[in-house]
Amino acid sequence: MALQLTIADDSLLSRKNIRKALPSVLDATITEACNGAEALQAVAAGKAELLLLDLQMPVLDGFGVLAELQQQEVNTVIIVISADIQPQAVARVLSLGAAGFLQKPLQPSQLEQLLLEVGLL
Amino acid sequence: MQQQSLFQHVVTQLSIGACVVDANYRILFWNDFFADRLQLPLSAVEGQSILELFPQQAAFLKRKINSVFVLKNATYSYWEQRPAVFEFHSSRPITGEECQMYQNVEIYPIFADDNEVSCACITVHDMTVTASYQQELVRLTETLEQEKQQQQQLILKLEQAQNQLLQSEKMAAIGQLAAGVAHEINNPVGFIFSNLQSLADYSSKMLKAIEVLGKMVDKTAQPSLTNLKTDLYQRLNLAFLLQDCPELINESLDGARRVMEIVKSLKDFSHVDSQDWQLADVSTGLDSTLRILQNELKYKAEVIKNYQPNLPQLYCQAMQLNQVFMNLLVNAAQAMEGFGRITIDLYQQEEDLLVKICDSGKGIAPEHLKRIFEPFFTTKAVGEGTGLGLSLSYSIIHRHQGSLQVESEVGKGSCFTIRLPLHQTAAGPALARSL
Amino acid sequence: MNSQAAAEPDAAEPNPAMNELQRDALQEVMNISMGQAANALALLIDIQVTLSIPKIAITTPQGLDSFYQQANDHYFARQSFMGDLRGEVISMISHQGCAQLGESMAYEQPMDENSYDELVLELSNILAGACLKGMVEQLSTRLHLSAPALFKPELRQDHYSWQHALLLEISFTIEQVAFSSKVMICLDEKSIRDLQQRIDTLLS
Repeated sequence: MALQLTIADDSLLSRKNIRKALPSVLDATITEACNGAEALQAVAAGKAELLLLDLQMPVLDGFGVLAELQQQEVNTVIIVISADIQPQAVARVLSLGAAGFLQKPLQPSQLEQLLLEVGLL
Repeated sequence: MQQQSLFQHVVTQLSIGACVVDANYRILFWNDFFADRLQLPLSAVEGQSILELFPQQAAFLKRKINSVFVLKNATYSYWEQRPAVFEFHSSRPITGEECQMYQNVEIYPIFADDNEVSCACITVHDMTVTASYQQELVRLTETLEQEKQQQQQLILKLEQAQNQLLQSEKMAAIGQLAAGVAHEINNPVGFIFSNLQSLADYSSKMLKAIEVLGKMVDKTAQPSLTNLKTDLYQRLNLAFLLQDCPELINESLDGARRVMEIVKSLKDFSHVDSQDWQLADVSTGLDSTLRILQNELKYKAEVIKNYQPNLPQLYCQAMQLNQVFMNLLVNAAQAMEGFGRITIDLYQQEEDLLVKICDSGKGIAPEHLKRIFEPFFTTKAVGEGTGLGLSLSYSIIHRHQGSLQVESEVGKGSCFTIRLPLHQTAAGPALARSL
Repeated sequence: MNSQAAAEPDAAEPNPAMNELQRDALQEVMNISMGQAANALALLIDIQVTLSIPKIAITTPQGLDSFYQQANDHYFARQSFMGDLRGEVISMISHQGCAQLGESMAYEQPMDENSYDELVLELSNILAGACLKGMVEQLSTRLHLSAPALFKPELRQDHYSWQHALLLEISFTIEQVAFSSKVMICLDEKSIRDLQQRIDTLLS
């Protein structure tokens, strides 16, 4: 069965780039969310076994989504993909339950490596 | 020529310093610019740490080179903030004033194929000429600024001097005007006075005649006459007339007398022939000045005069002395807070005449006291008062070979003492201006 | 410090404004560049940098005036760049916080006027350099950034030869020392079109 994958980012360009960076061997059904609220809806609809999450989004940002999902205790694997990779941001994200943190622009090799580590590949 | 050796030639001979270092600050290459200035060919320094060769700026160089490797971007240093990073001697050892070369330094990354920085290139631009010009400009500007300031102060002083001069001239003009007016008034007032005197005489005689005639009528004891007389007296209100007439005439005489005195004071004060030295009574001068200032002083202070009688006359410039008295009295009046007292003492002490003007005003602060006779020193706006500062008063007294001194206590009052020698040396009137 | 009124999109300007998609893409490009720039600074000084959402607008010479008003408590520096795109980067650096940054960056203490000038030039160079580097990498352009120079807005001239420019405004603050700065990348009119083409390439 294909992996339920949601990409949450307010930038069209970014969502495109993330798509392009996905490993070709990955069999996934992709949902796109433009903000945190839509991301949460996708999770609720069961469309996010894997969530690739940006931090800066309108309505509800990445931190907000992480906090909410941590409370709900869902099974989603969350990987944060952000431009701001300062140590404090990384620490905060990981403490909110993210499985990993990748820097933009996204390198396909790094994404593949991380997916292997979390066992989705 | 091969491309490789062409580039080598170009770089080696560039009039800009070029030095390439690796991540450990070791020199991989440097061109003639460096070699010549340090007398060290590349072969001698290849592989050595650049930090060891330039220990003075080692910390700075280390920081800058590091940032290039980490940030992968160029970094800069400018002569304005850091004149010399590398200790080279001046490029103008004969004609230049500088001992050192002024430098702009740029350090930029050189990338290997894997997008990592393999080494950093340091370039040095000789900015000595520019720096020299800039500094000269700054010096020039500073000098100009100073001169400008000095000029401004001078202009201020000149303005003040001009104002003082204007005021004196005004005073002189007013003096002349006053004298002219006084002269014109004198004549009509003169004959008003003398006519009034005649009128006094005539009216007293006429009134006397009426009185006598009245008594004569009474003596006849004839009712037809006495009744007429009583009737007449009543109708004409003669009793009142008999009493009021002399009073009216006396008051008018009094008024005329006062006008004449004022005119005289004015003439005394302004002395149209002002520059002339002459024998004069100081007491007269004081009095005429007081009369002119009557209105000014009346609401400000009680004036107490202590003149020693029978003082000898003084050989002096009467108008100038009067103006000194006016200056001091006006100052005294202005110093009053509320109603006060001004005392004027005039007496002889051995061979000198002393005029002492004391007031019970607010006094002069000690830090001002030693400056009040200075030209241009004032604590009020020019135009207030007579315009003749104490400095001019001081110089007038000095011309009379005298002295002007002051004692004062804040809150208690001030005392100005003028000492005028009665017998001046032959050089008296010809004394040069003291200021 | 908010400069919303800095430059409003001009509806009637000769150059067509970017469409929604292009704006979005440019915003993302800048976001990433900013992240890299903040990271660059954090590598040199161990400190937390706060980024704000970058602003994109068409500006006029008058539009830049509102920044220059802040010359009382800010330093200004400018750097030119050329290559595929042409323009200038104007950096605005608050007086506040510079002393602490100088210390963190191992400047010789005590700092005098020259040290502060050096610091401003270095900070401007680092931020502008990193921002442009990010853009260069993502848009595959060639750009050469020249040396920065201190800039006194009060001495600026009052008439310019240009009417419109693209202003990319990036703010960096370091709350710890109350430091704030803006990097304003201004592209001339001709460069706007070139930029749009490159963005379209990215989007395809």
